[in-house]
Amino acid sequence: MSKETEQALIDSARDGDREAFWKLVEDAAPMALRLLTRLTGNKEQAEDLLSQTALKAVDGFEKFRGESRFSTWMMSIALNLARNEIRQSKSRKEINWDDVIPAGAHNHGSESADLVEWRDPQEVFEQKELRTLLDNALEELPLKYKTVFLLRDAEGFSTKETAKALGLSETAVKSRAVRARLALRKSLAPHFGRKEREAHGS
Amino acid sequence: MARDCKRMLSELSDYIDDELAEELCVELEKHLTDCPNCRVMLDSLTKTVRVYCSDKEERLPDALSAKLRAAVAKKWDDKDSKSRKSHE
Repeated sequence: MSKETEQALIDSARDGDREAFWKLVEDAAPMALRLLTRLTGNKEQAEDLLSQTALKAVDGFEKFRGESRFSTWMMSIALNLARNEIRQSKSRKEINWDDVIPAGAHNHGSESADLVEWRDPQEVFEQKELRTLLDNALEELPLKYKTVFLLRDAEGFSTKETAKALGLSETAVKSRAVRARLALRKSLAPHFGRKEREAHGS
Repeated sequence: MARDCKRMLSELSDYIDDELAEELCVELEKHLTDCPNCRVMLDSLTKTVRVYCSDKEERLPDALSAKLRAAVAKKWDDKDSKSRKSHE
């Protein structure tokens, strides 16, 4: 949805147009559902949280000042609800920098078993199998990194919009994005790395 | 990884996002020419991001959409009638 269309719908909804409000929710809902499904790992729970998100959006619409996209605002509601549902123990886990950078490659330019070229994931696995692999790798990620990765990378939010949705600084978003990407890369490397190069490598 | 490569990790991420300052881009691209490990790292990080971007369902399932629409409409109308009552 273009910014102009969104703004026109927001203006109409502020004038009491229920249908305009629904169009805003309908536009943001698939993204919210993907996010909630990946965060909770449970389809029914994600659908329930989506419903709660939409109802909270109705309740709090007066507070929406238009400083971010409507979808960003709805994502922040969804994330807050999801955070309360997800076990807090996971959010306290940290990603250690030294754990996610390839081991054994301490010499500049030398080969490492973890640094083999990757095949195209979509060519290697069936869609369903790939989905399971991706979900399992995400599951291992602490919540604060997972939320940044899902918004910034999976949904394509800008650094600025991700920061707004999560109430973080842009520097924090960038730092978490790097660690999340490195951690996921490490989890996926054994599946997508080229076996032939491993066999003929150092 | 060499210290130089470690320093490049954050820059690789900004590079993928097209958010790396131009002078650092030049430095990174020069480093990539000489360093096969960082080239592999860039490629695998890019593929990590890309694989999660794909497979997006752009519409809600019809049944869920209908349920959600009805719930939103009811909430909207309830709120509307409460607001009218408070103004009477």
